Amino acid sequence: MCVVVNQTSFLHGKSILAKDVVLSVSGLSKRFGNVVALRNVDLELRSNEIHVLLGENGAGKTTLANIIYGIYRPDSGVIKFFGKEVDIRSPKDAISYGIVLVQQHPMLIERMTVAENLALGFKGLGLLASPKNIIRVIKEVNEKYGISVDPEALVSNLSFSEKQQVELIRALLLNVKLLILDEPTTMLTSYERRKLFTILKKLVSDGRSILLITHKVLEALEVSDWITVLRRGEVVASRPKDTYSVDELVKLVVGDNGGLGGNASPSKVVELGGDVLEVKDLVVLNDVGGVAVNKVSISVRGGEIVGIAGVTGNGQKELSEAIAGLRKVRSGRILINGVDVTNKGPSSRFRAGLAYIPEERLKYGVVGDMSVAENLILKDYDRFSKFTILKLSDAVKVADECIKTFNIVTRGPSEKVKALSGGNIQKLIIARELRLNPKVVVAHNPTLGLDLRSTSIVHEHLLNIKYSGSGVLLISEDLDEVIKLSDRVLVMYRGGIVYEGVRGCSREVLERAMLGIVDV
Amino acid sequence: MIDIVLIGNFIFLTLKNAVPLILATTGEVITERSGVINLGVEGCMIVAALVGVVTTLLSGNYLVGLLLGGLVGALLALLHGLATVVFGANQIVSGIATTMVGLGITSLLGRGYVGRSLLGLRPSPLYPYDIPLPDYLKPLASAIVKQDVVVYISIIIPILCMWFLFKTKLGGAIRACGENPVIAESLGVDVVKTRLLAVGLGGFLVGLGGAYLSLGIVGSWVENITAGIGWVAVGLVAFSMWVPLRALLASYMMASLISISYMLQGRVGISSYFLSMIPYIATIAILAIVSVERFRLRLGAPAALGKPYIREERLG
Amino acid sequence: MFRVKVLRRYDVSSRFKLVTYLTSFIVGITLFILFETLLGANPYEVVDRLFIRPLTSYDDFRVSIRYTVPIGIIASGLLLVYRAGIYSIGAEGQMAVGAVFAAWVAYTLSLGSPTSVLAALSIGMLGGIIWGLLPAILKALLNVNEVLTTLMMNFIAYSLVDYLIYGPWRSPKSYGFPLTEPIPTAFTIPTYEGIPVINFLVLLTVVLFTYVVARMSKLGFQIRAYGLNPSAAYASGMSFFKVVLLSFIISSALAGLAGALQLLSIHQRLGPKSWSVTEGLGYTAIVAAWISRLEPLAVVPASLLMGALVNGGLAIKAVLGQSEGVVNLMNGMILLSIVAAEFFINYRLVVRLR
Repeated sequence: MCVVVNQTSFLHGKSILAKDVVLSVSGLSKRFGNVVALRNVDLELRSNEIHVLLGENGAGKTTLANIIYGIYRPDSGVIKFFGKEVDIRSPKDAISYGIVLVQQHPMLIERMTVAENLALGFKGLGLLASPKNIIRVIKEVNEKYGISVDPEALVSNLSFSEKQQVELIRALLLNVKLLILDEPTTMLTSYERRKLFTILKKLVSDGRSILLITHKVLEALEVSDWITVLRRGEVVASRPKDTYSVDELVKLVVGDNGGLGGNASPSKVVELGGDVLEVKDLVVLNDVGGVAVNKVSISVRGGEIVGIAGVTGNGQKELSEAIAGLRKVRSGRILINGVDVTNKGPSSRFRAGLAYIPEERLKYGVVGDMSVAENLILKDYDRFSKFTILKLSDAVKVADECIKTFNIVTRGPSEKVKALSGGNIQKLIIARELRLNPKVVVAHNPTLGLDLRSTSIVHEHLLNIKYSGSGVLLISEDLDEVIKLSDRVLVMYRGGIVYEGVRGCSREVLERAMLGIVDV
Repeated sequence: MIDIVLIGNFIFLTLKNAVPLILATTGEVITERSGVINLGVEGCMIVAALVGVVTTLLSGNYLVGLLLGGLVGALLALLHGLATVVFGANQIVSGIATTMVGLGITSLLGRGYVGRSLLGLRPSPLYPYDIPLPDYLKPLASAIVKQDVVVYISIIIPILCMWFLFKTKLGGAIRACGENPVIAESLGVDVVKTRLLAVGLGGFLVGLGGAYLSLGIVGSWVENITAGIGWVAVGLVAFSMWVPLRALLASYMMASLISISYMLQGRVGISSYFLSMIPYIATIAILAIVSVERFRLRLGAPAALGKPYIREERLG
Repeated sequence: MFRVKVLRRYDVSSRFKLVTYLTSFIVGITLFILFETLLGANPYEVVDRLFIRPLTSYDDFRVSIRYTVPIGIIASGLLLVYRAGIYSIGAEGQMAVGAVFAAWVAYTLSLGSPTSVLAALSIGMLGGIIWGLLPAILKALLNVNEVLTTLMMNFIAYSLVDYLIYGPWRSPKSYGFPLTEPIPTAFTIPTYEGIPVINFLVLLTVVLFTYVVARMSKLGFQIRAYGLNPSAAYASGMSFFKVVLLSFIISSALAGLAGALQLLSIHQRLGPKSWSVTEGLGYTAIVAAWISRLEPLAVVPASLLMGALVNGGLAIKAVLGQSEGVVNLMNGMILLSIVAAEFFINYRLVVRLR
């Protein structure tokens, strides 16, 4: 099928007089329930500009990007695009204006090729035309911007960096005028990051604009033309890059309180017991058959917190699932308190003394449509039954106690768990696991999505577990959390443990190890 | 001594019996590739079978019967599609209900047509004359040449569907809906419209298969003419790993089992009732084989199969 | 041009659910009546047969109960598997095999009643269990699609019954009809004025049993967990194998029991059709289970309703000269409308004109 594709349109951006204002946001505010995400935000973005939106996690950057992209509607404020006031109601709207958002995790169909993925939204291609017709176009885009992605490659075979580049190509095929990138560098090596920045610079030289969201100060200074700092939903500074100094930026981002939490590092010394968890030469496969965990060996003793740091996607999910019994292992052994539970189901793990706080709370942690009391006895309902009949009334009593002790905000033991907030669900899960007096607790991203107060409560619980003589394996993508809580830190990269350090080791060394850079 | 006539008969029967299976399985492959399970295949087939007979009798042309059978199959499938794709209903219960409705309607409406022969209106063999070949070749040649044109079309259709699913943009859109509808939507695919299209297209092929069952194979309308063949097709979909060409092969496998069970009747000491169980037992067997977990990862099951996709309004 | 938006509903009141269910049920029945009218039936006659007579005529009530009992027994078992998220549709075959096994006992053993009846019923239950075992094990071990496997077992069961009534069990006195001998009187269950009272008591016992299992027992707890969130249930150490197997065993045993009861009390012989003992009630019970929203106590009114409807449907068939498809069609329309109701309970449609 022959297809005539107008390829010139997306290789050349609009040639505008330098420094037109492309996007202007004034007085933008947004709240979710009681939480104010954005307060009175003013922002101006020009053509040929890489504009960095800098701020900590929770500062409101992603919310702002989502509003510009039409995922949320603002409560108040005006957005103007090329001088005209616009009301962006959906991503489709945004795309029609020329605004494209590239999320942190690439949104591509793994089992299809690059060309097939890109053909899906390509207007110039007929329904029955072959995706191969856009290969030529993709190659031209590649050449112009220094992108090196094979259009016929299967997406599942691409590296993260290459998938990201596919997203860039997609934006170009959509005639993007304003490209928004949400935390694009978290999973890139430094080489890949430099390459990405080179490509971005080429993109803006055509007259396009880029809004880059990040929390990394050094990066912001490296690639931007203009930096807007967001803190707790407000704009605290918005100036050309050269007008900032590093120290000033850091202070603007972090504020005067010194960042997250402020709790002093706990350093109560606990006597170590025997091995409560041993993982020996573990090999685990991922969902598409590749090796996710590559001969990993870990040991956790009673009374210590072992933290596994690493960027998402380096095997943590598969490791955590394998230890919990939710995923079969290809080879290797898992011992809990000396009991070999390799490839046995989840119940054998609990009986051996393991407790599991899963990353996906709603999927693996609780049954949302069941009540608080029922979820609290989800694992040990046996104890509440006589002659196969379950006595929920006893469970309700226990639930009342747990609600009080763990401060779970709920209307009562019979409220459905899905009505609870994330933090309270997590408290419930912890309450349930602790009731079983575990010898070792595996916690995977336990504070993901939680607000600051819930986060510190969870941290307290983990520390208490350690003080009571049990062991904790903390798998977390939040490096601050790992550093704060762990007695020993392991870094996981591409399925293997590449570095091991103890409390107090250098943060930079850990960060480099997370990117695969280990100095021997 | 090999009984050439027997083999010739076997090949003839198999090629013919496979047609409804090929069409229905291929059709359901397309539907399931988009992420929708249509358990109403049996209902669609039987309704199409009846419509095929009635319209052929009325119009005098079996092509009209086939076409209208296909359209009716598509319509009934779209009813299921509306409930599940647009309204997000439980795909399994909706499919079972569709089959019940189909079975019920045809049972009621078909009373007047039971046994009414189609005579000369049935699809005719491509080469009805005597074949000038020696006796040891004639049965084999007859088996192939004396088939009607639909048999050959049924071989071409899976090949066409292979091209459609894997080499066109629309086919890619269908597959994307089945893999991850959220990502597909963000890539620019209208998931609801695409799924409905896949359901309708699949239903059309299923209908064609059902119409051929009454027009080409049985030759008239009989109550419960499908006898579960639609369900067998659903089982074959998984067995063919959602690839149309493999559906072709799988259908021939199942058809040969059916032919064997016909031909054994009265010959070997096994009661015909046990022989008639063969396709059903075979379906259970292949479902078990397909589910063996070691192979599950490599199977091409659409990742989002069976899960409804509702385009909800965002909060705020 | 109009635009339709789909909004999720939260905090739905029970009253709203009830109203929606009722409305959709009425819509389903109305569509059925409409269709019958298209076929040439008199709509008043249809309504009369379906609704008025069952409520007013004693005769009709007596016959309806005959359907209500097996529907209710089977539906009680089905709601257990459906609560676990397992879509077994094999009740029809399990019912048939239950009847076959009970018939075998009646023909081969000679015991005094009531031992004979109890023996036949128990063996009937065993027959149901055996018929459900293969799909159960395949599902428990390999997660094989239970819809297809149980359905295939239904077809195989029909063939088995056909074999028996045309073959080894064919009665020489049946004048060419494929019928078996009537079962010995020792094995029959008496009815009072044609109402199977004893059977009805069995139904009530079963309903109570199901209530205890589903709502009060450990197994019921695990079933609910798997039905609502299989990932979390598995992660909490609940055994998928046990839940599947036990729920399947109970439901197929109950289906077998229903088949045995029907044989011993109502039909008392097998044939002339393979589905003469089951009368498609295995499928009707599926509808009853969904109408009762998988609640054990609601099974009683649901099966009373379905029993009356089946009776009405068959009456329509007889009076208007239609076929058994009537019941199938009715079942299908009711099921579709329930499915639609589920949607309206969970989501709201907003239609805006542009």
